[in-house]
Amino acid sequence: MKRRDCSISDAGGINGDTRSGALFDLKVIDLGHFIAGPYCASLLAGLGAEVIKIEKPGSGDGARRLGPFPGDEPHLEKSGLFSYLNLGKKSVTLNLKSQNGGKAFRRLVEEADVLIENFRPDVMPSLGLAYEDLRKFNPSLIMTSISNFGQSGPYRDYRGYEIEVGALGGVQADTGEIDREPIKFGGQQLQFQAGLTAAFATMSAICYRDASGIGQHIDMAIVEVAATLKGYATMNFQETGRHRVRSGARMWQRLQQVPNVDNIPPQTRLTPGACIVILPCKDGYVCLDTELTSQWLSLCDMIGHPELKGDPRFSSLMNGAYADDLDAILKDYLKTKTQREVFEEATAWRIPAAIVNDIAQLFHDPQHRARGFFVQVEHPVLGKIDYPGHPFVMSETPWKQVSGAPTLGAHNKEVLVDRLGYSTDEMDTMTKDGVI
Amino acid sequence: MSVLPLQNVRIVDHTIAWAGPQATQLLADLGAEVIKIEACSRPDVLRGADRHIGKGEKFWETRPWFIQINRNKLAITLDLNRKEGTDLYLKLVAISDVVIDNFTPRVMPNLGLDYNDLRKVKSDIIVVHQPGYGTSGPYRDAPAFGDCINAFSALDDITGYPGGPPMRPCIAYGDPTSGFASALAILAAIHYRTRTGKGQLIDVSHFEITSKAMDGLLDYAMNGRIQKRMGNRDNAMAPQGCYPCLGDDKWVVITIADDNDWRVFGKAIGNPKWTQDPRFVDVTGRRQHHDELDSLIASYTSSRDRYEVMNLLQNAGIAAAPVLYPGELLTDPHFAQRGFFEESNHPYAGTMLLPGMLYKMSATPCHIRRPAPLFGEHNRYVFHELLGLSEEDMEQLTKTGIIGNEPLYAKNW
Repeated sequence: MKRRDCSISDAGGINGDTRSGALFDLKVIDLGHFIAGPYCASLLAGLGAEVIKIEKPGSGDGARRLGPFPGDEPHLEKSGLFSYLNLGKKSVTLNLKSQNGGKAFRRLVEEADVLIENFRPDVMPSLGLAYEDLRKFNPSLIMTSISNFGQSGPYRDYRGYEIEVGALGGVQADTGEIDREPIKFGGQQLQFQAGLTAAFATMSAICYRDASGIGQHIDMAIVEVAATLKGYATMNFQETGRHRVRSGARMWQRLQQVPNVDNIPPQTRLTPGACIVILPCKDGYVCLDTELTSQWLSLCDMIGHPELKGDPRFSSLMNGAYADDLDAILKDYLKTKTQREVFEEATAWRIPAAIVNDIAQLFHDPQHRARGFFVQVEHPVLGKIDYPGHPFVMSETPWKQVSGAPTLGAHNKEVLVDRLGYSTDEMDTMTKDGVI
Repeated sequence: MSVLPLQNVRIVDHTIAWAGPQATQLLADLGAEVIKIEACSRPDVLRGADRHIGKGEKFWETRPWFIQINRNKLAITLDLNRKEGTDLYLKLVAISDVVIDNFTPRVMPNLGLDYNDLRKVKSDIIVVHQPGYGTSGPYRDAPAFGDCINAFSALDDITGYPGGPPMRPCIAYGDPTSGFASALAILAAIHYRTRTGKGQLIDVSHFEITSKAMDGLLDYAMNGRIQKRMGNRDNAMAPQGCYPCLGDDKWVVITIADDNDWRVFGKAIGNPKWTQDPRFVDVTGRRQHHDELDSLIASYTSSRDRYEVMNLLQNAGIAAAPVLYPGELLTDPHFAQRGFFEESNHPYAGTMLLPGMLYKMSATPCHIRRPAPLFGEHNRYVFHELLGLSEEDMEQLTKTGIIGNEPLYAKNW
């Protein structure tokens, strides 16, 4: 396959048409559907890569059928989730089960640097599009496969949604109350984690290819991402032989006595009884997150109870019996304060604390708005919406979020005719045959 | 000796605790030379003076979490509060590719080591700051730990039993998520520099990257609706839930994705009468009677082993999985066959199983090559071999406390 040589002049300014961004020279094919694959590809798009999304003719990415929809009216072009995850991409419809569809796809792969997919592991091979097949057309291709349980192993072909992957990955067991069933985290956290880590994984292969010219296959299992997130708990289990059990809105209780460590500076030791808790205040919930002993000592002063510093209930062992005592004292202090007052006062005392934002508060959050985190993008059907924007800020290569998600097959002509050279007659035939 | 993807990249690593070290762990796993800097007066907080598990006097060398997160890295000590320290530091930056920290934003400028200072010694340096709220904005200087980020990101608010208060999700999400984001930003910047010769300054806010996963924002933006706590239930699929199994605190999660799944599920569990109830034939009915369905499903699962339920349902094509504690992953057959956990032999803490590689690479497979570094372990390698200091120089620096081999608090222990 041809490697494109890029000159420095390719890396231009920050506006729409010129290729810019850290990944200005990369071409990505997004075969992803729902969240993990498309989110991965959307990060690469925001970093400047050209992303061509391949969708099923007629119905497209399954996320188009998932809400939210404005007014709850389903519409192929109005899914808020699809719109967010596919900003700035091009859409080409191809029926990969058809011979001509497969052919067109392989031609696109020849020209591409990266292919992202998150099907179940048997799907790509069944289409004749396994990595081993595609590398024949493009030896330096990087193919990133995201799946629930990985491309191998006894659960390889098992089905799973967010909840199953989290449960098996160790993420659910310790969330919730001990006297009830454990609960999953709200939303689709692991799908987004997988998309982010897959973007990293893809770039690790790109960096290797930059040095060597060699492509490769990435096998990312969402359940292994989950297990990585809980690595500290696996280590703790090996140390203590015990699991950290559920403890509701409060940090787990330390299970073993710790020695007196007074001679160690408070700024460098984790507090023996970590006071990490979500509690109600006057107008909502707040989180107090004292992890260092110096912060715990400041907290005692802040709430007007300096005598707690020497209180044996809270000094070397925090166990369930005394957690309720502490909660009562803290609630008493918090009930006269608003979320904002608690946050500002704690910050002044250098105590980590936070407002428990709901989604509306998050949308209007002053820190996000001050940093321009939300970006308004216009979509031909959905209109103008504020979307979460940059994952981070880069000084030379600002985040690109200028165009909305594509309508289904919007770039069929641009890609198939203008770029790949199919004639309009061939296009008509392919449309009639359901290939595009 | 196998080839590693990042074997020609050197990273100067100021990061502490979880967030920053998660980023440099990923890069070290890929073969980058990650040089962790700690001050004798301020070792990485994760070395954990609160835990002493009796493997000798050096308790700062035995904390399992530190050992997990810092494998494959090197470590040096350096006092950056004094000129002799920063002079040496800048010599190291001059031969490095990336500098990363996760301090609150005022720390590096206060040391006279911000981006403009570092650019003077290496014009194409890539500098990453990874503080909780980013390096600008009204929350810039607020102390941030992982649970604060969970709270601000609305993750607390959307997690909990239906009708109940916010629950604490037991992962400080901002930490690993910002770590993954920093690592991605670094590789994007390295790629860009390969093409253009230019370095840059990167600002990674834990709050921002965590907020990008909050898809509930779209419903609010379009419909003004605020996402509610749903426990284990799903907006589109019913029933979905967590059901008790045989044994204490043993559970299985099951998702019936559509009407076809419901029929298959009924057959798989032997067609008990309740699976033929016409009230449950479509998703609207199943959602309406979700509470009742949960009890009925629990009546099936509670006398069965959780793995047995998973395998039976999965063989029929239904999504189901046991709820495992992280320690139980160590004995699960799938993780074992995938070889996900890798052994690490640490001189003080002994042999442990660590979560291994985040993903598998076909051409350049990576592994744990060395255990987490001892305090100041690579002073000699960095100062003597890389920077060319003589034995006498090293002795002098040790005498004046610019470098050292033990945390200061070790003297008092």
